[in-house]
Amino acid sequence: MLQNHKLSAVLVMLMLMLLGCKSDESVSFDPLPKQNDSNDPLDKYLYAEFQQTFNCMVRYRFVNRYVDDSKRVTPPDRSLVQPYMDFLKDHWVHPYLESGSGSETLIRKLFPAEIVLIGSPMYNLDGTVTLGTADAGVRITLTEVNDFDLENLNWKISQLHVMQHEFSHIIHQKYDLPDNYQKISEGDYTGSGWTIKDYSEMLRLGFVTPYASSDPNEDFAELVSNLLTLPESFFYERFLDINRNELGVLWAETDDGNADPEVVRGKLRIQEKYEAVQKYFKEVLDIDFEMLRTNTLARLFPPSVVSQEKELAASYQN
Amino acid sequence: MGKNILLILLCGLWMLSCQNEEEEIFDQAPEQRIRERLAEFSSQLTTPVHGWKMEYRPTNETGSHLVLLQFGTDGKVNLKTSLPGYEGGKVSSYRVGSSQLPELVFDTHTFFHELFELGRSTLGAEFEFFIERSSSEEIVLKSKSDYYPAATAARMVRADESDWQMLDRQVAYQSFLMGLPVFNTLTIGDQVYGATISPWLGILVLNPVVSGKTSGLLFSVPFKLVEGGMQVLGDHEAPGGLGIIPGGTKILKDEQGSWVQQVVDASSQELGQMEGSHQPPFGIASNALVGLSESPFAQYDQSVLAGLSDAEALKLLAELGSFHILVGGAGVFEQAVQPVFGLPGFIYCFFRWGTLDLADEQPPFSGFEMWFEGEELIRRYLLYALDESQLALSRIGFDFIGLHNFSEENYNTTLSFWSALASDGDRTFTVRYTGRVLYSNAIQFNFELVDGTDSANRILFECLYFL
Repeated sequence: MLQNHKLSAVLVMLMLMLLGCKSDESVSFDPLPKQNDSNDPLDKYLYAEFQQTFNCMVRYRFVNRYVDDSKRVTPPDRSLVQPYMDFLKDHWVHPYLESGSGSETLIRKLFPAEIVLIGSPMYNLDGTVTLGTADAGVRITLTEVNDFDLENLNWKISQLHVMQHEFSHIIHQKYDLPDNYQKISEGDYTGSGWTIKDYSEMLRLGFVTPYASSDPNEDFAELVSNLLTLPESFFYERFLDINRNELGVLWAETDDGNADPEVVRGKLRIQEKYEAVQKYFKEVLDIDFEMLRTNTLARLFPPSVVSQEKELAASYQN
Repeated sequence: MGKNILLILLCGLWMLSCQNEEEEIFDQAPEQRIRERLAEFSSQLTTPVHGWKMEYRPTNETGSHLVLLQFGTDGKVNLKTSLPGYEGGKVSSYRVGSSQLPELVFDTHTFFHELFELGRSTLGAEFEFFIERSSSEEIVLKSKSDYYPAATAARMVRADESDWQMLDRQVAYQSFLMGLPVFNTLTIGDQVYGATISPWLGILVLNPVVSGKTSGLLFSVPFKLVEGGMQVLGDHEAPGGLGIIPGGTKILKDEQGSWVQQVVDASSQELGQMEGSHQPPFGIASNALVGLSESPFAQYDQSVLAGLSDAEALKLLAELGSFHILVGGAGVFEQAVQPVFGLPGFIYCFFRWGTLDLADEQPPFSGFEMWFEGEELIRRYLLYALDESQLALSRIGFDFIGLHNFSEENYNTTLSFWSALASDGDRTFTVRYTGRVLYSNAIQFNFELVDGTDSANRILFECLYFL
């Protein structure tokens, strides 16, 4: 009998709990109209070109939850959104679509679910600036859209560098890093210490930029993005060019023209990483990385700007 | 048994606690009330025919800007201020929504964001606002990111047609100010100051002059544009006991006889009068001023001039007889230059003279036209007239490009930048281009066309460029 009372009590409580779960309130978390419902020509363009084609939402209106509270940003000028996305499509998406089936498959498969456009840089509270972020392989945030200028090669390189960098993160988040990649510069990753390093010091350790030395993931993203945005000859001379003197000894010049064995070591490491990237793209992603690189650089450096490409690339990187 | 009774009592109490005995204060559910409030606010925003006006002042340390806003029902807002990029209005987007409170957010880039970004986003401007209160006549917004209760407020009231006209006048004046970042001297009360203007921040940075020299006791004074000048906001005490600048002081409208006022005379009066008959290029001649002591149009009523065609205006000029007039044109600066010595400043000017197409005109009227060409723009116009003995200029053509460095060494020194000969059939003209650095950020150049060696027969151009 006692058991029955207890059972009844438990049943009553369960019913009450279930009633408590009933909800007739609707709560909307998205303050923005859906692009597919919008009559705005810009929304229609973004819906057709990115949401329907690549299942990607392009966020251009300011919503503070898209950006970390510690960063101050402003949204893009709406008149620049479509030209900017056309630029991105032409310089980032199309080379992937044109570089073989594996490349096309990759861009369609890993196309970020969200691209957030920011008009300004992201101003951090510590006075630094963040140029882009990739979150959990689904969202890429791009900044400085309001500086849109197709005549400004430095700006174009900078934008594509960020895009390629963040997309590289999505790639390794999905497929891991190339085998043993992190062992090439093992022990030389410095975490946040990269901010006080300079380029020549990092070259000696086998990194293409100081930021690459923060951890293996950034190393990979920086290498891939630099390979896909710097002129080929410039990249070769700066990061790969090694000579053999009359005694058969490898040597490489520093910026001031002196031979430096540490630079030889650094360049050999970059060469090793580069080969690991090529192999990884071929074997894991079924992509001819050199074809992708050629197609990407051809759009960034058409014949009209080839003469100035090295100078511009150098000024960008410094 | 006792346990059973206790269990039943507990269940009873539990069920009683579920009863809703709260008294409803409002007739509707919160969500419904929010929806209705936002709908009402949206309607208030979009209803006024002439939109809303706001005197936006980001902080007490900065000046205020007149902002006119026309909200559309499609989520677009056309925003107009006197500052560059917004003189003709600019379309952005907005949304009305709610987070903790009902809010109005300008969610694509516009004027508020430009201010927000100043100083690496440290100025304290805002583009997200909570709606403090609203009616069909007034809307009070509060900054969303400021800490309450000290959040910056922004008040909008219904605009009317005169507000848009007022803003148009401010646009012309602001355009002038933007080309005038440094004042030579500015007299307020008995005190003379060196002054630098920052139009975006709406502040004057003043440097009191003591014993004939600037003291370095810099301080800033916020202002707002008013009819024909700037008005100081709030009282400001100059450091070093050099006096107080009272709030409401109007600058560039008094008769102090300062350099500032002279420039104002040259731009807003002479150029302004010409604007009436020749909209381009004077309407936006921000980099050009005229070294003109007397306006040739002074004897004419403004309303007469307003209806003149170009050709008629030129005829009028010819009738005025001999004078030196000079209207400078446009300049394109190769790079941004800070108003301090030591930094290079470049002027890139391209002038072309051709023939003035007045085929039916007879002497004494002769003319030429002048082209000002920058990298992206070509603006026609130079008005001038020559007296009867003046040259019959026709088909004289010469081009020059001047690219010069200016530095402190050249301060107030006349420099011969260029001279050459130009010919028109039988006649030869000497062309001389000289200039001198004025102030720390401006150069005056003179441009002379002399008939042979007779300096009486000359045309003189005096242009003042700001770097």
